[in-house]
Amino acid sequence: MALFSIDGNTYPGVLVTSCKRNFQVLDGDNAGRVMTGAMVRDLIGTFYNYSMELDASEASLAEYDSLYELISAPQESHVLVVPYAQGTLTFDAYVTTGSDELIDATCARNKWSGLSFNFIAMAPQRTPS
Amino acid sequence: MSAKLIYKDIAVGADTDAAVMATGAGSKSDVSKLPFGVVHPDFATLELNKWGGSGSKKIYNGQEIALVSTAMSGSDCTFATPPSLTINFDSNYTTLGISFRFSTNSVDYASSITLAWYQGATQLDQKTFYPDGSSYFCENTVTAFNKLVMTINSTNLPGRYARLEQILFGVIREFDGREIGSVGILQEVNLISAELSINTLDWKLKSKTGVDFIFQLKQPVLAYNNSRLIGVFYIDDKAKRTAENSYEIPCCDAIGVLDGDDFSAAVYSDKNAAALMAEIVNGAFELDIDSSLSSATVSGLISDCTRREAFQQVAFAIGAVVDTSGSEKIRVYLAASSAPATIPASRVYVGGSVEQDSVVTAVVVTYHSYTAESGSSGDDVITVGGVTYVHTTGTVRVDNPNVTATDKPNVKPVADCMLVNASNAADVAARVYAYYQRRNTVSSRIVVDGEAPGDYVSIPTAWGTTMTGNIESMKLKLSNVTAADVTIKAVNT
Repeated sequence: MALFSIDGNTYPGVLVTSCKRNFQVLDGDNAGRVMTGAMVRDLIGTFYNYSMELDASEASLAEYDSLYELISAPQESHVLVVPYAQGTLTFDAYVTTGSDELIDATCARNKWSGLSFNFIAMAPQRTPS
Repeated sequence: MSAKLIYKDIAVGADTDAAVMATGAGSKSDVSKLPFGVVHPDFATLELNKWGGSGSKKIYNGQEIALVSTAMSGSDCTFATPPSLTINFDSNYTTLGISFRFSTNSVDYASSITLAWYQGATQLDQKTFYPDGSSYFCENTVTAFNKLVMTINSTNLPGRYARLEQILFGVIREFDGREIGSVGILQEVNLISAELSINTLDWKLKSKTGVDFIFQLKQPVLAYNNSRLIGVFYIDDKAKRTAENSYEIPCCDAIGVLDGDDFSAAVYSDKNAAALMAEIVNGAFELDIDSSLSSATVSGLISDCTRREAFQQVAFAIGAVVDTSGSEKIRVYLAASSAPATIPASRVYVGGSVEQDSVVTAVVVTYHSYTAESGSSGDDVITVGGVTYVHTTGTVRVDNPNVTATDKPNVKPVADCMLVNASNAADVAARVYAYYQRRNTVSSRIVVDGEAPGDYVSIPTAWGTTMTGNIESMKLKLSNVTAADVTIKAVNT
């Protein structure tokens, strides 16, 4: 299984140059401190989110454009497969922003580089039992 | 989120309106039970594999049966003469479909049924469904039908009777935290029933099923936190659709429903209060009246008003608290005033406050009497139900003996409850006076652990004291932890 795919698509020519993950143990509105000083948690669950930077220098123009169109599509979420622990994690995630840079342009081709974006989990991957 | 909402997406009133007739039903069947449901034991019969030696089969001994057909299906599972049901209604109903429960205690079901919807003689729709389990929802939206014909074409196994335990005109849907956007619940009581509060549930649905909902007035929604029932609510107003699969649904409790129906004026004399409350509710809801109130009586007038207002008048006259929280019934009881339950500091969020009302210097209660006579000039004469009554009044006053010279006069009048008469006026005045002497109202946010409006509780304050009183309101926000903004009418200490 690929270590990185979006909606079942893999991009062999696209290299992941940076993959950062962060987690957030999210509370609901009913979290707060009580009179004893203790914190009351209102645990919704743990979200794992990923930030990625890609190197597309080995990718064809079509492959890169395909990836760009997919991650910037106005759709609610994507099915993301990313590295996790000693394997992979599959979850629904959304993208709101991304950026890349035009590094070379001729009349026949535009070459882009430095694509980066964040994947935010749609739902907690782990919930309290 | 441990919150759960059970939405009965049903045609309200269709169950009691349904007149069910059957052809091919066995003599032990009582098809009038179908709209309400019966659970059949797994009877020993002469069907294939239905008389085992394990002892698990039950011998028929007069148990209720909604529908078991006269004939068995053949080896091909079909019936030579398919059993059928015809259900007529006096009113028109709209549903997203019809739900069937065939058999609770065995894996027996109809594998093919045909439904035909009519409005009068006009067939609105017909469709054949192929159930795949003991319960099945035949999804098909039909608007304004008043007749339903069901034909049972086949059974899931050969040589079986057609069985049916319940027909639900609609479907019961369960939503959990994955589909509930937010849930806000307000539950209130008034300790002397000076008013009858309407509890509300406002919730947002983010449906994952893609089903188009047609939220209909008075459809029930049961709110749960884990397995604890918080309240039963009824769709109150127009639900708002805010996106393809998003809805905002306002609901009210049974008291709110009663507020939409009128009650005709009547004069009562030593009328049993519980019986009168039952008349006011008129079978729309079940009542749970505390046994200590079972012999209470009322005398006087209830004017033309809503059923909610009429219920409030009776409750006020007998000093009862009315509440629907935590129950499928309307509960009527006397407010607790001893053995307070402690809400520990570990469940009280920081930031509470106590508000102190002004001193009430006196309470003046007007009592009424109605004498059936034509009266003379200058009399206050009313006619109720064709009978003329002369209305006279008097007052009972309770003064606060602890008023000081600096206290501003603050007299609370009670004039408009015509069920307050000469014999109960002193008790009413004492109750109202005692209520107004409870001047401190605690406002706190707590982690809820079974508390409900009306409960008698002790709660710590931020300044190291403890206050005791009855919960008058709870504004709940359901989440994994259920918290509520509560107000507590504190007793004087």
